[in-house]
Amino acid sequence: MMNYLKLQFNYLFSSIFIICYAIVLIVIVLGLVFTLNLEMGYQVLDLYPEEYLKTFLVESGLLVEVMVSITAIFIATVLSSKTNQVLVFFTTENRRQRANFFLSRYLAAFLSTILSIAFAFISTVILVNWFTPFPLRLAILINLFAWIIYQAIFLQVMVFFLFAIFNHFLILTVPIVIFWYKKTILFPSDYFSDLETVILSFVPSFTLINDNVIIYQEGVIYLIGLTVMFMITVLVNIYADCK
Amino acid sequence: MNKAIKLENINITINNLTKAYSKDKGVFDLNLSLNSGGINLLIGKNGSGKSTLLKCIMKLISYSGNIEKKRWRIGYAPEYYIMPDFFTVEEFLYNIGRIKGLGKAAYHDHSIYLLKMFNLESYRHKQIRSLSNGMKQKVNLLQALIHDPKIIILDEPLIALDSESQKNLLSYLHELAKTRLVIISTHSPEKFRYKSRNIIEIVNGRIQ
Repeated sequence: MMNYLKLQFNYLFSSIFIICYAIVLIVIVLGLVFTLNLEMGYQVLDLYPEEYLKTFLVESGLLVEVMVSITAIFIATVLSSKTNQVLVFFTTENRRQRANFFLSRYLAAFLSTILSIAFAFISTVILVNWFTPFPLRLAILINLFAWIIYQAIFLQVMVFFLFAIFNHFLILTVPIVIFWYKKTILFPSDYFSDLETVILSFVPSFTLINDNVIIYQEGVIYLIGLTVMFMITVLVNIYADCK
Repeated sequence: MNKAIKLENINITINNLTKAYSKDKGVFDLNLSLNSGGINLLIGKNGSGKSTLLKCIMKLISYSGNIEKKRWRIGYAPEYYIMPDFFTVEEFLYNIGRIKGLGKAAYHDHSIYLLKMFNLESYRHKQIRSLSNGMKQKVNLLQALIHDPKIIILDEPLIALDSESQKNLLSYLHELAKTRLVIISTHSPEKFRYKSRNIIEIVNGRIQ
């Protein structure tokens, strides 16, 4: 399994991917710096630190969510490409090995995503504590970033699922459109259209309001959809014919 | 005192194998026994079912019937391959070797030998995408041989190879076939001019 995982990481972290990944991380840091409003000066930020922190958490949360989610979809797409698929021919001789191959693929995607969000988390903590007087409470940040990871992994599983069923690269537009549409939904609200209700019920949905992460429904319920998609993906990947 | 060395017989027995893509495409009710000691050549027209049979042996596709073989190491080089372009030759072979259970030292020794045989030493650290089709085919063949498998399955191995490489490969396979099970799908059986060869012709998914 470890050798398969190394293969997947070697495959994923090509020179082009490393450049793209580095750009994403740099954009996250620059975005965090920008949303901190450091140009206002330490003394000004110290006048209303609680208020500025709330604004920062909302803006930086949105930035990290968008960057990490799009990167997660991109990573899952790269790992679902035909050139990765063809590695099955070279590395597997039976179903057990094929299972190891695909599990290592999913694991590589999840770990790469967790790595990017860990980077964003550490950057946020360092920037806030070193350059601002904001009283950052880690519990809120951990809760927010945990939901971002949950959503990103959900989107990755969706990519793997769609590629397993349709096996066409254009299918990656589906999770992107769903994610983008979800971000346009005003949440929380008293009224949602049917489509909005379906999307909010299916894809992990959360928002940060006044230091609280508000969720549309319990994470366990989202886990049902995630598990079903994941199990179907695993079964299709292991038992379907390799072409 | 001379000690007789008993060669292990490596074989695959195929019973009633059927994989139907359509009414006349696939393989149908194949019964076949493939043994070590000589090169097994699968011949037939395009679409006759040669590659399908090899994929069934590799369990890359589902089928009905039975394929009996022990859990020997298998090396497989597919015909229509898309190589992982961003790997260097070294990275690719090393990863495959490790996955197939090769130790670091064994990989090192065997890779040097094979790369030399295929004149790929100077391309060792080059990315696969920078190689010509012939070179890529060599890498494709190398990954199937890198872990010293007991069963070697090559789908159209001579395609894109220059005459010198073809000659080297053929003599290497001939040597391997003495102690290993070698199965080759080819359109050029005349190039395998060895006494110890077993020709299996497949026509419309059935053995002639």
